[in-house]
Amino acid sequence: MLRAAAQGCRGHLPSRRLFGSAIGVNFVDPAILSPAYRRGFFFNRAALPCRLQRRESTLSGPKYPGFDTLSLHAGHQPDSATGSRTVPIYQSVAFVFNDHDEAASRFNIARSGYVYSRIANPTVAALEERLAMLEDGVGAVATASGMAAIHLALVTLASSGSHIVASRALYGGTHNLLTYTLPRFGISTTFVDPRDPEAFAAAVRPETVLMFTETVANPGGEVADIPALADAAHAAGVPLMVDATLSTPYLLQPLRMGADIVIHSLTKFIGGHGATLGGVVIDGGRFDWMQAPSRFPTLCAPYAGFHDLNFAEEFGPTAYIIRARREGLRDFGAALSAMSASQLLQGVETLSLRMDKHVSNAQTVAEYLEAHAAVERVAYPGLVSHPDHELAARLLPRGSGAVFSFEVCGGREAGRKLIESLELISHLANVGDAKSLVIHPASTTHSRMDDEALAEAGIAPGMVRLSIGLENVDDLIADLARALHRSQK
Amino acid sequence: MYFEVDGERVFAAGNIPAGHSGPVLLLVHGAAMDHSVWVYHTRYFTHTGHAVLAVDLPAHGRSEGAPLDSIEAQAAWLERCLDVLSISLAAVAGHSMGALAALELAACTGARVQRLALLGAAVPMAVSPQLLEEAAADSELARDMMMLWGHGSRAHLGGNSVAGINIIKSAMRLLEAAPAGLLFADLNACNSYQHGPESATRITAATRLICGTQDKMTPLRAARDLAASIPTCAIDVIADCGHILMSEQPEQTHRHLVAALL
Repeated sequence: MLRAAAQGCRGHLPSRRLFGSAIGVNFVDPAILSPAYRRGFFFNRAALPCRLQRRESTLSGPKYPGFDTLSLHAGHQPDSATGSRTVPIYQSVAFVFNDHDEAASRFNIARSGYVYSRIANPTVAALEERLAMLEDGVGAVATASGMAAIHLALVTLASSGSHIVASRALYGGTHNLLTYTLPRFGISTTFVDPRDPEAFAAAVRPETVLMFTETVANPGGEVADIPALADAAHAAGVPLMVDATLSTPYLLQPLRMGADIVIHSLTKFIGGHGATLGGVVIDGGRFDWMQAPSRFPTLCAPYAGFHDLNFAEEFGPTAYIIRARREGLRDFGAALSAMSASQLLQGVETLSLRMDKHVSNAQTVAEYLEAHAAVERVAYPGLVSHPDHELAARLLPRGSGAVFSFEVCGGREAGRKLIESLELISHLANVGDAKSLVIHPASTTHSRMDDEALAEAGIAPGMVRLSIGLENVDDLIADLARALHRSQK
Repeated sequence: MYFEVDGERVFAAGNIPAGHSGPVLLLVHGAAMDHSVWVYHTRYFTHTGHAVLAVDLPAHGRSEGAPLDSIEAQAAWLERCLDVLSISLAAVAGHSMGALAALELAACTGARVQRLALLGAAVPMAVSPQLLEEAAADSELARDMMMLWGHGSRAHLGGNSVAGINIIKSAMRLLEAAPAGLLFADLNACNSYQHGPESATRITAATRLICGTQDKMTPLRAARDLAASIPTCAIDVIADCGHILMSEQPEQTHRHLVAALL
């Protein structure tokens, strides 16, 4: 029991609630150290009684809860009214105020608590806090979809006249938003080579408000050099915003590498079962908006929509995410439902387990395809042949994810035959499902791009995108082998 | 708002409405923190018609200047703030190091401080040699120790009442943004403060100590000792709460703070 308690304390703070043992509690509880506490309250080993020094010696220093623990527990305390261990689904549009003062204060961001589920909901908040903790962010806002998250993240900084510098290797939906839709609202984008931080820097203008990239691009698998891009962004005085959907916080944590804002489509690996739409924006809290207040007026200028609130001045490190919630969810309204949040929370709980299997299966399938005579090219960073293989090994040591593309010999027609010949792998427009998926990007997800844009984004006309699931990998390979054979007839 | 003290620019969130009479609420942050730790309280008092200033001590947040190397110097600086702003009557709340500065200010200025709220306070406020050593080296471990032991066990897994906010990392960002040497200067000021027990006995302001049951930095037992030494002092205890009361239990802290200052 002693050993178990000591091991339990190694990765966590001592806690009555978590461990419940006198050993776990007492070794840093100053109340029992009197009068030693007067010599130093704070982890003063010399002040510990000998019997507790021995137990305490298993600590190598303070540590935060690990990834899996946070995946299961973060953002929720067992419900005090019912004891519910699972996060309850708070299926309520609004929440009762105790009095007028509390109502007015909650509306005015002067007291904590819930008002209306479009702005915040307890079930959704548990998901948001859990994801913020997994990504090392100061806060998060969940949205109704991944695209809603990207829109919210962008327009919290960008207004008419703003400019964005973005990687040209992006998910087709993001490309549509930046190329066709945001210009209608006066927001323009310059697309640059995702592998060239200097090109990002060179494209920055006085009105640029952010740089944007994907950790592992969809579908070409280009890996973003997050530390280098963060340096380029910060040297230019703008934040780096990263869509980390394909890597998930288990494989890569962009905020720890210098990025400032992270976006996920929760619909994909985090939800993990192809059942629920969702998105999230996570704020790293490190970017100093006040270094250039005129560049970031949404955060640094008084906002009439909240009694001249200056978000950066008043909220400090949480300015961006508070504005995203209190303006973005209030006015754009792309809130996540409590039911969806509950389903997505179930996905988060098993994220690391699933990602290990996704990555393992993807690596095996990619190696099989690369060796196949009917395959011209496989674009998976886990392969030595991929131009970003070394970078991926450095930034994504647990693996490069499970979405990649390949070109079958015979071009577009052979690709069509292959997709239509697959039986186990489903032909649909999604990635990150527990089940394996396939699609032809040039005619579906990226169909709005012309041939030149497709070439710049690294998408060949005959390219096929796979999202590798959790099936027995031998069955996936058998399905692909059969389809490849038919594609060459 | 910005104003000048000793020729240096000082920032304080909140404001003093034109024509205001009555005590001004003065909120003082802790070691290597800034005004934003009081953001909900500042907004509440401001929008309920009170005069409130959540001040950034020199070298903290958006205030200029060098760190003040003692609690006595911080208290004297706060008094100069009151002078510069022509504040004749104040209700002062301080957290951790800020509580010591507030205590010393109240002891030195007598009736000028009408009400006093001390959050996460103990005198003496000894700091362990290990933490001081790490802070002197400006190490990441020092910041981790502040966060890990500063927050109660509940906070480490979240479930806080401000939707979507990771309170530990929010506080951590303030420590990370602090200039090199600031955390050590502040902790050393706490550790070196010797006048506390004597100053506590001279306080005339109506005082409330607000403390958390899981506070490992200024434990409840030490807070009770302090409360016993201050004339006219009450103590409010918040369950499931560590040292960073304002973010760990914002609603309960709000209620106690309102009771203490208004």
